[in-house]
Amino acid sequence: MLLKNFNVLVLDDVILMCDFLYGVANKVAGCKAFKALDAKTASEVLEHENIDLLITDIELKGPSGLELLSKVRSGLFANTAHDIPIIIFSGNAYRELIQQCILFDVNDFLAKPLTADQLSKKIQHHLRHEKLIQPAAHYLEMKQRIETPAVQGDEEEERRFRVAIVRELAQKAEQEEAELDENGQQLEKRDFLYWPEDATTGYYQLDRRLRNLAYNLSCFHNVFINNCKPVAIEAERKRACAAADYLLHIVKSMRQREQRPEFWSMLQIRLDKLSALMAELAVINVKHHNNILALLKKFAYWWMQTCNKPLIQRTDGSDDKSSR
Amino acid sequence: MINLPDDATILDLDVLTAMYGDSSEETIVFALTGFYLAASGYMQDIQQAMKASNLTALAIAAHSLKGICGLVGAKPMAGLSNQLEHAARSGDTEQLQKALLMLPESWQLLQQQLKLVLKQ
Repeated sequence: MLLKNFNVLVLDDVILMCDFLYGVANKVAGCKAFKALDAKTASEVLEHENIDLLITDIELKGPSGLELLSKVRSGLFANTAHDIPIIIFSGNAYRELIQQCILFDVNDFLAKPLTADQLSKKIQHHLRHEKLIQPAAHYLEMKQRIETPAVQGDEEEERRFRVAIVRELAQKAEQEEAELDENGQQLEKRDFLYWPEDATTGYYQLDRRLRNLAYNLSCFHNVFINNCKPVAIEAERKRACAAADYLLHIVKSMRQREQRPEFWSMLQIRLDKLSALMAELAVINVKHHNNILALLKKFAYWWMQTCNKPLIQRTDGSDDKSSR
Repeated sequence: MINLPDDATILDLDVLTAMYGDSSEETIVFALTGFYLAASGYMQDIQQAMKASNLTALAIAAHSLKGICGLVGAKPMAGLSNQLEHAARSGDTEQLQKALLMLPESWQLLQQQLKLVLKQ
């Protein structure tokens, strides 16, 4: 049984089907369902709610399900992680559509009709089992490639296109050169807090929430450093606090059912410290630059201590620090 | 649980109860009422698309109709919608005409069956 409340979004433009999916998802233990009849409404839900699983039809009036899932995978929604399980629920299985869905690493492709029992099992399965998802930038690049219309036309048009490629390559070479240090070694570009791709706690849900926390704290750091408007800083602060709350919540429910008591008590010590830092972040005056900088340093230090052995394992065996 | 009507070939309630995982009267009435309203709308969409010779719109409406027919066990109507959808997508006018000719009668039979079940 799933213990935590997972948010499941169902999208189908046929009301009866949408209600069916919603009813089934809502009955899965530990799941709270949201429903949308079009991609626009679904986008709003994905933007404002922390969705853990998406079930969508592919052929919709207006923007298609494929467009929506490519946005999810590209990390274009503020509150929904890009690596959530995505289930396609469709009445047709056209090869081209399936191929495009596979490019975006959808977790499952279900053909209608499907019984409530079968669907319920699929939901539970995908909330429990991890699928390796690439970084959001990978899908964003692919999305842009697919959306860019093919270059056609006369020779002049083709020549201009070739020139564009040469320019782009030259710029890329300059950029790569700038990223080398004095010894000619490649410098790794990182966020303020960075979750290494090969790091894991051993729990997919936990990895995802830690990565989400790092991302949101990095966003807060970026808007603050770049002197963005107070309203933007305020919004990022809220998101970072929400990400921490979600992490604390998931740990609370996971430790009740998981083994490894030593791991969970060590993690709890780190999370108690995080709670104190988050409480500080929640009330700090964003106009007091020095106080915020000091707090950000504390976060960086906390992250460095937390995202290391023994809590976090690296699959390649290295022990790189996770914070700049 | 309500009694099954005689003609399960038009509307198979076993499929509906298996789909919903629930054989309660409440669920059956809810599903069939919702189906009737939605299917009536798609039937109108199909007729309008046919008048406007808009095959894309026809295929979309037939696709949606097929989906909900599969959900409540309206097998012949689901099959017919499937034929309509594929004929419209491929531009096969001969198949399209055949399916369109059968559509009013199938819909009428299904409506009768729906009324019968909902009365019980």
